[in-house]
Amino acid sequence: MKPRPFAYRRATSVEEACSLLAGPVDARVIAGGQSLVPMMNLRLVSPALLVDIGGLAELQRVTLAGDALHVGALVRHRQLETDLLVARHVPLLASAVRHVAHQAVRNRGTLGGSLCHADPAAEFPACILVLEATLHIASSGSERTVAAGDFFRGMFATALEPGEMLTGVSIPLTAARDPAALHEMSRRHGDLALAGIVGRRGQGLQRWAAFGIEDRAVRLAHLETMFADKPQAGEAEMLAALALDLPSTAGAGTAGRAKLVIAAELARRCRDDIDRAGVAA
Amino acid sequence: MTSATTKAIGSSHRRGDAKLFVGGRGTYIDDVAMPGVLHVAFLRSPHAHASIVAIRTADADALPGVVRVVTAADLAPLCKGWQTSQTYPGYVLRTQYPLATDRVVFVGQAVVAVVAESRALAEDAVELVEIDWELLPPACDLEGAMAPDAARAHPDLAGNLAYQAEVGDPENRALFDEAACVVEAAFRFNRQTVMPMETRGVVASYLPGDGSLSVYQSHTAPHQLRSLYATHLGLDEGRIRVICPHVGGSFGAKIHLYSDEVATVAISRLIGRPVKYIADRMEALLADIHAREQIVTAKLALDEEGRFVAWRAETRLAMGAFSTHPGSSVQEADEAVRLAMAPYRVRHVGGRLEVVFQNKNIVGQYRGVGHPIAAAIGEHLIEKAAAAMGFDPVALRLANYVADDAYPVKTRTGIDLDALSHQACLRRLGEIIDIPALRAENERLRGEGIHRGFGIACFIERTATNAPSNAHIRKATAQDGITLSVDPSGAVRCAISVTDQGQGTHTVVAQVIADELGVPFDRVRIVSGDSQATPYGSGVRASRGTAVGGELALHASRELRAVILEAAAQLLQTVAERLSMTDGMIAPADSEQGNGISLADLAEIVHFKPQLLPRGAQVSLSLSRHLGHDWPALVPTNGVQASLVEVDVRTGAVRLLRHWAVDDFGTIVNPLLVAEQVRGGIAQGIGQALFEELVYDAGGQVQNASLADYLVPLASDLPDMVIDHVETPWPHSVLGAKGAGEAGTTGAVGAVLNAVNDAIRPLGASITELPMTPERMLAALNRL
Ligand SMILES: Cc1cc2nc3c(=O)[nH]c(=O)nc-3n(C[C@H](O)[C@H](O)[C@H](O)COP(=O)(O)OP(=O)(O)OC[C@H]3O[C@@H](n4cnc5c(N)ncnc54)[C@H](O)[C@@H]3O)c2cc1C
Repeated sequence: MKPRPFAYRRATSVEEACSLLAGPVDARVIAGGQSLVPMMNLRLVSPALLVDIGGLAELQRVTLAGDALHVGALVRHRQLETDLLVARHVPLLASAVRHVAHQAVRNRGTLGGSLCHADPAAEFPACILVLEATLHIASSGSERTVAAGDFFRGMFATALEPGEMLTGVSIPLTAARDPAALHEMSRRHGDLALAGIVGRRGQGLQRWAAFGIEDRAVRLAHLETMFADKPQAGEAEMLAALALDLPSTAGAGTAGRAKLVIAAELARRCRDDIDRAGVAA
Repeated sequence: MTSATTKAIGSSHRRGDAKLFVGGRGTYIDDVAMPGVLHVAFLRSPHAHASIVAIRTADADALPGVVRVVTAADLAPLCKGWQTSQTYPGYVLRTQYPLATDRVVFVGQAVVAVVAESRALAEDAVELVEIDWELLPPACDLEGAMAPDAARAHPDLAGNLAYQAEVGDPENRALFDEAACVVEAAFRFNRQTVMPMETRGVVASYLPGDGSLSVYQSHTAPHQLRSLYATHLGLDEGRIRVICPHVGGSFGAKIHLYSDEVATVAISRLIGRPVKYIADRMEALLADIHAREQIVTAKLALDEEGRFVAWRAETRLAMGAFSTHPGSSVQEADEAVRLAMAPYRVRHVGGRLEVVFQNKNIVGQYRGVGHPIAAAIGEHLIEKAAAAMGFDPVALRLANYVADDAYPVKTRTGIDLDALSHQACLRRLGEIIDIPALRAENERLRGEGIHRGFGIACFIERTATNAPSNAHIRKATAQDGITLSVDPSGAVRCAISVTDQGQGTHTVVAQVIADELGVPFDRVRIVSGDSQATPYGSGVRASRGTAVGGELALHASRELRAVILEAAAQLLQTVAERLSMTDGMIAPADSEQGNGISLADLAEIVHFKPQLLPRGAQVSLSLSRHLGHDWPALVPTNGVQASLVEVDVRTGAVRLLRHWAVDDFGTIVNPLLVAEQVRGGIAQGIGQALFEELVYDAGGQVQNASLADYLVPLASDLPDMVIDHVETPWPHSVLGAKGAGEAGTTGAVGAVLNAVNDAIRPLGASITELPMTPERMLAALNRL
């Protein structure tokens, strides 16, 4: 379990990182290294060049920018867990961290790394889907934004093009203040989810997503409509909606069926939490 | 300070080496450095079953830093291959070689070895080796293994059956037909592995100059290894030295000899240079022994009063492609069938075992070997019978136990049992848990939709294997030995054949010596794990460290003490009978202080000024002692565990709330270490019950060969554990200690299984497949 040979450069600016990424060799960003290094050791990925962005202070900040909270790509999980602005404005993210790994991993893992890694069972992709966040992407000489809903393209696959890197995420404050909840089931504490559900209820809108079930974090359109029509829907209705939202899981035998049953229960728990939070608010 | 009033035996001495380990100052196998050492990586079979058509190594050979690419053909002249040393009548065996010869028979089997200047380079070169395979049908289905048209794991054999045996009483249908109540169940115990924190590894150095071989290996039986390497490599045993440095856990993984280990040693012989192989975690998952995989059907018949009338269990074990070596794979199934219901009086006990070849990795001897399954199946059916007949499960057990005062007994399956205490252990459990109150609380919570369950499992362990007259593991269970010496400073040196794999054998042996010799604990130092420095013996396995090593230490210490007192008597002009030694001071037992001599002063005289002693034979402050067939083959122990769980019936999640264990380990030399053993063992039993499963698909591919997917329970997943004891000293030794290393694992599986079933039985559900995953729980609860 040793990686194939690779070169290593530590970037001193976003611009330098982007130009290294745009170079002729197959280059990858390394942020916290918590997902990339194991994959390299297993020789599942073998970049020729690692571009370390760990020194880029400008990506490590959480700032209020107008009607959004901006979270830099290098903000560590531990920082999300303890940051006052996050706690105040996006409590969903702060509570999601409690399901992510253990302290040692949280000390190094970054929000950007988690989003770009796009593990189907990771919590943060589903969170930014229901928060309808915007991702900021830089490449040599240019910048663009992508809506969260367009970012996740499949297992470990995102909308990032070669030569691009994520610099941060903007979370609209209105969305972030809505009552929201996350529930997941994992076999051991801190493991990636066997199934997870995130929900948010805004003024006349429902935003729900599932993780750990399909090949990526997915929005649950049927569940959203169902909750809009029938806030107190029972298990059978939730199961029916989820089967439509998660077709490949619904067709995947008893293992898929088990995930749906669990997802329906998690959705109920989220809904009940949101109801309670709504009453309190 | 140790004083005359504080005995070392029975006190919780901390392991002297624990601080070293925690501080990163241990010497584990990968810490062993040798000048010029080369590194080995293996190309392992990606297929469960395939012929090797051609191997092309030119590109790998050409990679800078690669020293040699080795195939089976290179090693054939050096190693003849081997079969298990533990044979049974009719056991069909296939020969194993260091590297696969013309056919691979499981995913992960070593095929080609690359020797290079670093492990990373060796892995790079492995990727450059090309092999043409011809795929063969894999035999992976356990239920269908014996069907006439089933794929065969070894096509040269007529079928997949490697071994079968009837155990105990022959099947008697009438007893079941006429019984007042019969309960039965089909169990499935899925495949798991062992997972010591430190993986296996070998550093081997063959010196062509003098034909000597040094092998450092993460293993628990250096003498056994030395004999095996001599046999398998055709070398003079006298020129081989095997050293087991600090061992970071074994649990059975490191009592076996693996083909990659033999290959590494053979490679050093081949190229005449030191080589190192350290298994990585993925190799550990694929190629360390696997364990447990059995399908079992069992039934229990009772009369109206709840007396056990008849029992029958039939099991089929998925052995894998070979038998483990030197101890065999059969034990896992044999012990399961033989030990089930052993705590009870049952008129008729019988069973059958089948051991089948499969194109999967080899099943070997993991902590408990068969006993966790024996306990799980018997205890599950007892609780099921109690529920069916309306008996209290505690009362039902008490009514059927072999009484504590009825031992010794022989079970109907032929096992000798002595000095067990099921009644006392269960009574003790009843003292530390208010079981009726706990059950009433569970009942009340059920009304609130909270599904809690409480389950009990009692068990018998067979521990402390020794070299009895009927030993059938050649080169594995040998006579054991100890050498004790007193140095001029009065420090005591002990070289002993039992080893320390992290469980604290050294501490325990030192405690016994401190007490029996009469010296401070700190003045005793233990050496083990070096075939050149210690007497021949079997190392550790089967919870034998304290029972065997402690007994050896006791006898040797008493003899040496007599020698010391005799010499001191001559100096003090008295007779030895009037002297005693405490804390390293020798003095007349009945006089005031000052009239004695310290052991250090005596040793100084013996070593440097022997002329001060009367003429005659030189006093020898060094002696050896051995223990062999003057000791039973196996020491039985018993215990009972209980588990309290909460089942989330909506998600299938099982939450462990509390766990209790009451064990009878005979004399407890070190309560702290024993409690640690029980806790760690329970953790592994809980792993089997709820978490650990190596998933093979129908084609024999392992689906979860990483610790992200193979779930070992972590501290945060475990409940509080209450550990208690009953002490019935083993009557056939002086120390009276029994094995304590495996009981935790053995009892935990059945206790958790029973607790979960207690929680879901009122819902009309039951589960008998382990581990009890959320998916299996939901299926059992009829929610899928
Ligand atoms: C034991 C363990 C348990 C874990 N449990 C969980 C869990 O429960 N839930 C969970 O969500 N995660 C879990 N993780 C993963 C963890 O959260 C990782 O930190 C995260 O997935 C990746 O973040 P990172 O900063 O370490 O990224 P890295 O490992 O450095 O990179 C991951 C990938 O993202 C790319 N990348 C990183 N940053 C950028 C960027 N700014 N722009 C473009 N590409 C980028 C890299 O090139 C790489 O492909 C666990 C990890 C471990 C080791």
